[in-house]
Amino acid sequence: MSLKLTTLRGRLIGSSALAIVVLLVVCFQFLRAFAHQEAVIVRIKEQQITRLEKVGRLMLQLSNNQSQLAALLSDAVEGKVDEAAVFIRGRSAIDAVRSVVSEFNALRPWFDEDAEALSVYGAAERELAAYRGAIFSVVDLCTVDVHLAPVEMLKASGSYVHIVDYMSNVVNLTNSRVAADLDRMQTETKRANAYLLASGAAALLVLVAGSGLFYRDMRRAEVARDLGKAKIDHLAHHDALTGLPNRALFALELDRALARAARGELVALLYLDLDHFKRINDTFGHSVGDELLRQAANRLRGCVRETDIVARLGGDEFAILQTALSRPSDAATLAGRIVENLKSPFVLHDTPAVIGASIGIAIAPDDAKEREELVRNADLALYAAKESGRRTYHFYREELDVRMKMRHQIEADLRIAITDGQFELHFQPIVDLQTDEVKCCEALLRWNHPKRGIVSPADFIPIAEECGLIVALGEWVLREACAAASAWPEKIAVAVNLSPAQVKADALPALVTSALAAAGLAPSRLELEITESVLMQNTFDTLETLHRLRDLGVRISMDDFGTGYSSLSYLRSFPFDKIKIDKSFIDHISEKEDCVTIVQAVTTMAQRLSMTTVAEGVETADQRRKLAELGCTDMQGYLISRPRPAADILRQLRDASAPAESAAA
Amino acid sequence: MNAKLLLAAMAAMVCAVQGWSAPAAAGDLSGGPMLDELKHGGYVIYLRHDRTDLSRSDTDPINLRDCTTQRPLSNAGRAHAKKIGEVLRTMGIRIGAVYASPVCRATETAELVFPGVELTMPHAMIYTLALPKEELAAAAAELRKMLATPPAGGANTVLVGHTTNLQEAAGVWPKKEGGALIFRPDGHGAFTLAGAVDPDDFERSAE
Repeated sequence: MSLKLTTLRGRLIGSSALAIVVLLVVCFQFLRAFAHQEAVIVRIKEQQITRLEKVGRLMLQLSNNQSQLAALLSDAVEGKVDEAAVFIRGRSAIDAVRSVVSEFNALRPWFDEDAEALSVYGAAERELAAYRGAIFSVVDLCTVDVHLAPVEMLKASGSYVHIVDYMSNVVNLTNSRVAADLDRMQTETKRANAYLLASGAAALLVLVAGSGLFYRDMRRAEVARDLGKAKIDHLAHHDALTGLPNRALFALELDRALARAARGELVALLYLDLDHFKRINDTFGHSVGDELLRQAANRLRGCVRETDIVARLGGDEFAILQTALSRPSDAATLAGRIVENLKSPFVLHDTPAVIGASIGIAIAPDDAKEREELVRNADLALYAAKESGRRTYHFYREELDVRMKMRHQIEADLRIAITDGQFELHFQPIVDLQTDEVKCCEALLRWNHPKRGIVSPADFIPIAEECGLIVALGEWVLREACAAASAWPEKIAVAVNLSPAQVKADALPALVTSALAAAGLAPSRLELEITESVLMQNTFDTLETLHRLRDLGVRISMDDFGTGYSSLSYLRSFPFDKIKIDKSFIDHISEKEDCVTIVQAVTTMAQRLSMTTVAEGVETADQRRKLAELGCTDMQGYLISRPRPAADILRQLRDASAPAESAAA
Repeated sequence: MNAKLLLAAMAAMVCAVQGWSAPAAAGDLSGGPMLDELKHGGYVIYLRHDRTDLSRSDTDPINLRDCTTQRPLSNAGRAHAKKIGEVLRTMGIRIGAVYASPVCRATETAELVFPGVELTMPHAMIYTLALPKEELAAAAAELRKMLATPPAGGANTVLVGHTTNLQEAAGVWPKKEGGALIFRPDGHGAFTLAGAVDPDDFERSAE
């Protein structure tokens, strides 16, 4: 409060200072305008004096000219001077008149704005022209017949009298005009001064009123700020989308609950994930995803008691803190209610959607007494719930810990496996169904664990993907496969599987280029196999990366087609070179009609789209015959060869091509 | 005599400045003998325009395009001008180029003296009293050059002009309207005053 008052006082002082500054400015302007008016008046007066002086001087010159010429004339008449002498003196008199005329003409602009003075000035001008002519004639006649000159001299004198008369008139007129101008200016000055004073007063009033308004607005701003602070406080502890407490607030609540648990109260922590939330988000867009989260949050609120706390931890992760349990099975009741509740369909912007929830439960103080441990246990339980098929809940048990430890072990082992050379590539040929010729070999990764023996890719690839090792592992596979293929006959390509995490990376095209260059392998001999899950990332960047790979000359295959969603739209979003039909269809192709129909449909479609089709996992001659009938182009499976080490496959390929080569030679 | 001395001094000055050779000694003829001498050719005749109507005056500034704003020849002047022409022709005085002031009284005089002749009217020959003083020096120099230029092929050059021009160029004042001063160019850029012919001399020669 004291801070606010200080600020307020500061602002009021500031506005008073501003008022004083404005007043000073007004005073300054007042003085300046006054001085300016004075200067203008002085200038007008000086200007008029200059004019009067000028006119007077000209009139004096004319008068002198006249007496000069009169003297010349009398000398000439009396015969005191000859024509040549008259001429020289006459010449100077004429030049004097001419210079008076040009100076007189220069006065004209002075009277441009005063019609009356101008007309009198014009009369004087005409009279001066007559004077000039008369003077010329006097001199001229003096040189021809001096007796006639005095008549002209009389004319000149007459003109002179008129000129002086006119000019005195002009002077009077301009004088009165200047006087009127000065009068008007003084009136204007007075009026301007009044305006200036009034505006100064108005400025002061505005400032006073403005300060009042400013003070009022400031009060309002302070109130708004206090409200805003409360709001920010809420925002900091709540999720903006659902209005539920966020992770930070939940942690505080959990700590409080655990403090009570330490005194014997039973507390349950439920960790909840919406099943397939990512799919909804990817398929229908974020606004639908957000709507789902809001509705799910409302349903969760409806499931719990007032004293329980529901929080959104981020993404589709929720947590529920159930307090004061009578027995652990209370948590199961709540979890069951939630799972059931979330099973019923949602309507998201008119789109019906069925999802579900998996819940992991940990009980304090039974399962853990510390927050971090309790959270970890609930998380493990959630993981287990998902493993056991989703839409269910799972209590934390100690075995979960064991499994988790094993995962950690595998992760740790994976890290050293790459550098230790525990990985090995095996290759399985893909042959042309018509000619039996090997067209390609698929590279398959094997892990020879020093203690566990062969570890299945199904066991370690998900872990490698989770912990990010997949990128390094993928790079190793790519480089190894290219290096191996470079030793094969030239028409045989190598197929390498890419994981979704690899396709996400921007560096993939550069990596492929580098691997090809290092092995000296033509890009057309590399096939990259991706599964639908890569396209389910369905971002612009993924497609961009795939196109850039294609631009390198590398071929792209759709792997395991028929599993997952097998949406045709994936085939539309990118022009694949090859479709690999999943083994599950091939297994039953001899006896199940629906498999035949599906394979038929895929091969027909592939033909239309200029794609080759590969049947995966072909094991019997019967299957092979059937596939040939259905128009499948290539096949792969134990019927031809199981995956073999690189050295074996190299030998096999060389042996196969040797006769052909020698025949060609 | 004064005029002769002045002229000699001036010519010497011009020579000193421009490097011309000294002029030959000037003769001092007048009237009939002067007219007789003209038959030999080689002279520049400066004829002042003939008598004028003094009841009228030039305007200042002068209007060369309108003769009615100028002091014109009188009828006596016109008659005298014709007489000059008759005398020159009867005496067999050969006339080459004729220059006249563009002021009407001079032009008319030239046309009456030499009917049908092609006139040249240089700016420098305008009545100098009507010229602005800045142009006077150039006009005088040009007129001097004309006086110093020998006529071609045994003829005489005629300049019909005013008093003040000659006063400024050669320091002589042609006293009478319809009278002439005769100059002899020496062929080296200088000239001497050879003599004068009064208006009455023409009348006498005509009888």
